[in-house]
Amino acid sequence: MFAGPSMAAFLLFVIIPFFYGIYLTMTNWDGIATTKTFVGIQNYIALFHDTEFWGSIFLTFKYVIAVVILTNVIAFLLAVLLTSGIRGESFLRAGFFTPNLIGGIVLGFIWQFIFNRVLTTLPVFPEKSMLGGEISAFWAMVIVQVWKESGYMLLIYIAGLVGVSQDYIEAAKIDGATSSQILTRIRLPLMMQSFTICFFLTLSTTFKVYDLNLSLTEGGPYNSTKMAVMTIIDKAFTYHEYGEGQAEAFAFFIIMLIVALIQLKVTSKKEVEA
Amino acid sequence: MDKVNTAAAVGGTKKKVIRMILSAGAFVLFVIYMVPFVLVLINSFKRKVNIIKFPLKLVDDMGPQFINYKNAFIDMNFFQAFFNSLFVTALSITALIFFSSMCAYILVRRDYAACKISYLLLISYMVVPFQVIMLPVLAIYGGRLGMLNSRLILVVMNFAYGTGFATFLCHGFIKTGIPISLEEAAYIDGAGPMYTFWKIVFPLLKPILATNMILQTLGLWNDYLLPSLVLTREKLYTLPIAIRTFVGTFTSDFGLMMAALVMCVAPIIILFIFLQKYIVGGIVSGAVKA
Amino acid sequence: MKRKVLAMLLTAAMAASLMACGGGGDTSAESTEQTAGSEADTSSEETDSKEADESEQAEAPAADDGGSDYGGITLTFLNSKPEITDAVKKVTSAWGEAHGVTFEVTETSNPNDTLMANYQSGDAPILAVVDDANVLDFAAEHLLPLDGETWEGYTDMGKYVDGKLYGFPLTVESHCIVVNKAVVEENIGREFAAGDYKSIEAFEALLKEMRENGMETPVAVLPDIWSMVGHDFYPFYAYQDGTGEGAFALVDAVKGGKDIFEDELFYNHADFMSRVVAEYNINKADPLNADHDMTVLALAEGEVGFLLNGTWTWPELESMGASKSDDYTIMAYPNGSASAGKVMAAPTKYIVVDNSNATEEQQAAAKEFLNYLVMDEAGQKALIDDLGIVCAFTNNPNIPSDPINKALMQYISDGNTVTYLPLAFPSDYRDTITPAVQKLMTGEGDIRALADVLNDYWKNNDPNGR
Repeated sequence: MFAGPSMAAFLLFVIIPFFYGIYLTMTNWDGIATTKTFVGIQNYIALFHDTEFWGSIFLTFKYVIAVVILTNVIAFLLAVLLTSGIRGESFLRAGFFTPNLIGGIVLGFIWQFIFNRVLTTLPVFPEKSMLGGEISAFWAMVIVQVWKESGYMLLIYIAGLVGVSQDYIEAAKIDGATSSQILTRIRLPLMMQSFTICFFLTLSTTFKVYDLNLSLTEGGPYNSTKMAVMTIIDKAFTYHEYGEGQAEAFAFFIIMLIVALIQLKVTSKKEVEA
Repeated sequence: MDKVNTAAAVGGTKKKVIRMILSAGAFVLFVIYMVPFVLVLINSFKRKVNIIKFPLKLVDDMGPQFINYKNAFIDMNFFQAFFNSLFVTALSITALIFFSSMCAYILVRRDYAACKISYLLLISYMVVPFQVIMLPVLAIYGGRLGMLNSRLILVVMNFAYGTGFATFLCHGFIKTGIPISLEEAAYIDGAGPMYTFWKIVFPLLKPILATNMILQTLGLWNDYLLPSLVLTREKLYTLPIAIRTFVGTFTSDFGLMMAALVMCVAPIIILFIFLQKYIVGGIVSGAVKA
Repeated sequence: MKRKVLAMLLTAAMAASLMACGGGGDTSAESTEQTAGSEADTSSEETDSKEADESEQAEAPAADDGGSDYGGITLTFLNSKPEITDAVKKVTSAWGEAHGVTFEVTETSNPNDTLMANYQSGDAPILAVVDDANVLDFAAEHLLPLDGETWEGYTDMGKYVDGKLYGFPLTVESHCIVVNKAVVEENIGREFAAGDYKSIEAFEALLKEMRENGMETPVAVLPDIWSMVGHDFYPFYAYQDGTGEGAFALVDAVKGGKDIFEDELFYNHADFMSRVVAEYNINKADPLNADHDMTVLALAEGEVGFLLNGTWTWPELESMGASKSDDYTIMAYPNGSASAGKVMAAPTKYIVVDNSNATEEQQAAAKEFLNYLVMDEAGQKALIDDLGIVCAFTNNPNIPSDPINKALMQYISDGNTVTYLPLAFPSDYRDTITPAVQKLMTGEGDIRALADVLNDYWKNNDPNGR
């Protein structure tokens, strides 16, 4: 009864369409026709031979690793800073959060502008836009994603840091613990939950990156920044090979799920029950 | 706190210096984080030619163009779009906050296999890109059942797609942050699970619910893809869909677009400032003592 | 006891929330009415403000075609040419008023994805402005054949699929070089005639002269993939013999083992782009990441004399300060073929009518609206003046008011065009060749590498549209 509404909605709008989607992976549907033929596991065989797909998965992995590490390091340090009682804390918190207010296409437009027109005129940066090189365009995407995600994760880390009971901290202070000891010995272990959440969130959103990919680099230059979701969507929609695209999406989902579950297992082991 | 000894006082000046350096660092970072948003803000008062040629200039050659706001307001039918966004977001958030916290509570406290599997399913969805189930969803609920073009169906969908995340956040919070001893006491006093949840557990969830509310509101308020598929009639447009009218393949009207964007995000900033104190209020600690 | 009370309270709460939802439903119905009302208000205001000539126009068709009244049906209209959305709203509402039809115009920048989604939801637009490839993809399953409509007799540019007519040609456009004539003439000190620069050598000499006269980089190349890859590397197909047949013949030859590198037109064009154009490009330093708007602005402000783009760029130039009385013209991509000097021109957007969700009445209204655009004086005028396009119909007496489309009209009436259709690329063509083209333009790749990609592509793929 408690879980009823959530599970019912979830069943109707996620599970059922998902299974219908799996059925579609076994057809040759083009995404337009009203009829489709059952082709068995042919699409899965094709996907194993699709080097473009596996290349994009590999690229996405590199991207996820870079973003997850940078985001969480920056967000955590900022969270510590913004709960240490410096001046204008709440104002600063709101500021770090603003990146999340600008979504989708506009975000890509603004950053394109910054990379192409602002940074190129500043003396410390090379004259050629970061979006023009294969390696630098990859890092440009990492920068924007980290910029956006870290403001988000910052909130969760702040909630974690201040959520640690004052009792423990007072007790530690009475025992003569320094503030860095309090942070590493008391706060950190007690807020492992926040790390679990933040790692999982950055992992899942970064794996799924699409809007930013489309609006910032369009996969370029030379298709060198085409991430997994963009590859899948192109296949299913632009190339009208929906069955195969859906099969790739399914494979991608399984891979992500395995990674995410491993991550959850590893980090939640370190959690301490209050 | 009053028992400051001499050693701490010496550390105090050192601390002060460190604190100042940290503050300065935070401020520099703050500026970097704000740059894109400030760019939107200053350019929202400029004409297109000025935006393209002198994007960093603070004011247009011909003075601030307040007219951008007026025109954007009219062109995007702001009140209608704002109402639609508010309707969809508010109802979705309400459903998410109440039902997901209930769901999380039961999934934490009951040790059935069904609960574990449900939880696993819910969080698995968080790694599914929406595009994966997009066409199936449309085929079933649009093609077969003809249920689209309704704000309520969008609310239900938002709930379905957001509940995994909301439950996930609450789940962790309840597991580690809410001592079971409180509930056990309530049960011993003869309270039922509903009473226990609403009267004892739910109030303690405030910080995570506020976080939840901010994060979900943000996602829903800015969401484009799903609303654009479900609401294809102009009168049902939400703000992000309405803003799209300023984006053309060749002739984007940047001034209007940025003005529209500022108007669109203003409510979120206000909500954020309002909810902030709940997020960081540390309400739990008080409850644990009791 | 307590438990019971709570359960009751909760049930009450749930009922209340359900009612609240129901209330929400009511509000939506109410607001629907309101909006419908206000929409009608605005459109009538619009008609008022356009005063006499508009209302005359609106009444004219009623007199012509017996004034069919559809009694308030709604036609959804998806527009994939965003720069004309406002004009489309104006034209449709004027006609709709007179015929009891309410149009709901929506727009998309990606008609393929939008239509795929809409057809899945059973909510496809009755009328849609789409690209060539979309007609091919959707015709058989979802579109209404339009053979035998009155307008068919006034154009040879309709889109046929398997012998049936599905696409109403909305616009004729040209991939060409847009010329700021005044700026060029000021630089070279004599009159500029596009016909003098048909060959690559002649055009290169002109660019050199302009550089010597102080304009370091007289050409602007857009960084966008759709333009650089999709358009700037098309001419070697179109100029083979100036018809679709020639383009297909090239593809067939490559399929049959010919190395495209050996094709004179291909080699010369790729050489022209990578050696000449890249050298004189205002975005020379970073051709792929230049700013689109700055590039167009460079032409509008006379920093360059030439922009590799097309006739659709007028609204953009106008938004950057160009005026209709300014001296602009267009010229062909220079080449060494027999058709050199003729511009590529073809219909680029089609209107299609839905056959999956639409009622017969809606289809009838849609067809009548299309005929109105071609056969009715007001419709003809709306097509040219409001939508600002060059039209594909021979019976339309109106002349476009902007210099670029005017120039295209001149090329068409002089018979100086080559068609770049029906050869249509499969949807993955552009993605596949993009890296090679981009590398060629930055100097990181060479013509050989592009030729290899093309050889390989055509061995494994077939062109559409034959």
